[in-house]
Amino acid sequence: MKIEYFEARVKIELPEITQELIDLVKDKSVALLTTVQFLEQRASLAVKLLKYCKIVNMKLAHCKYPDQILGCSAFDSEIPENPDLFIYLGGGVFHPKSLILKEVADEVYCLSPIDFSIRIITKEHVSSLIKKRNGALSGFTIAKNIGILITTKPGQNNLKKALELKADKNIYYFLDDTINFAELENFNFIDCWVNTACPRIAYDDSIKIGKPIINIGELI
Amino acid sequence: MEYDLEIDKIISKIKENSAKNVLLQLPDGLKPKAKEIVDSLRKELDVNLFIWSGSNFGSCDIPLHLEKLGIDLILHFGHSRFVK
Repeated sequence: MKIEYFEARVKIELPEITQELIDLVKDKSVALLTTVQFLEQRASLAVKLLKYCKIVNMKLAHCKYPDQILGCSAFDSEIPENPDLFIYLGGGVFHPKSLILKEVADEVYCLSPIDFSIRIITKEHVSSLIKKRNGALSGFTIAKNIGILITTKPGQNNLKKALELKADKNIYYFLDDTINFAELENFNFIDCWVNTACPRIAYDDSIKIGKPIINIGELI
Repeated sequence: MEYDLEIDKIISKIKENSAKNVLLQLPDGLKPKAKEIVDSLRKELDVNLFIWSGSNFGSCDIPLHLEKLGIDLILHFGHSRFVK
């Protein structure tokens, strides 16, 4: 069965560069990241900003294009040279939040492509998720019964990694396509879950799960 | 927000693949565009068009086992190919 991808690029013209943006980037090295939808706008903005700053190009994990970001990219990327500034061009904070969660950046400047308004996200915005993750790591240490979550989705399937995990604990393997958090509650003998699917599940969805959940990447 | 849905490209890809049963998989933000896409394709093509009502969190999230239903082409919207 063939799969064809249609990226649904956005058709908008960016506004004029603001003085606030110029002051922000002036004489700095800047990573300018965006989703696939805004790659054309990102390219035109980068050309304009080159007068004021150095643009650092980045190839993040799982992305087809340079300077593209996915919700999971930061978790599997090695950033060779940290720029002075991370700017995310796009809406919402789901994608840039990953840079903070993975401690790639202390702060990310989220730039609206509509009016170039700027919203800064920092560690404070994700502090509750980080606290929960640290608690989950402690939960794993004391857990006797571990449930390893494995998805059948081809892009997120990590069966090999799941089987590689060795720990002095009782390990049980769970398969599903989309992980159903309500169903997990039925397996009340599990003390801690280990997620091998999308790494964002252990952060953003941890509040939906009664038991601690950590990513396999934190153990292997 | 206006998106480039590439209807002409979709039509040529369906023809190129000689597909008969085609599934559209849209992320939440584009699900309201399903009618517009299906209506446009129906004007040009005589194929069965199905809309995936489940998730499309990314190109890592492709539905499985659709061959059993005779689906021969998935049109995945909103993401580029996932690089494993």
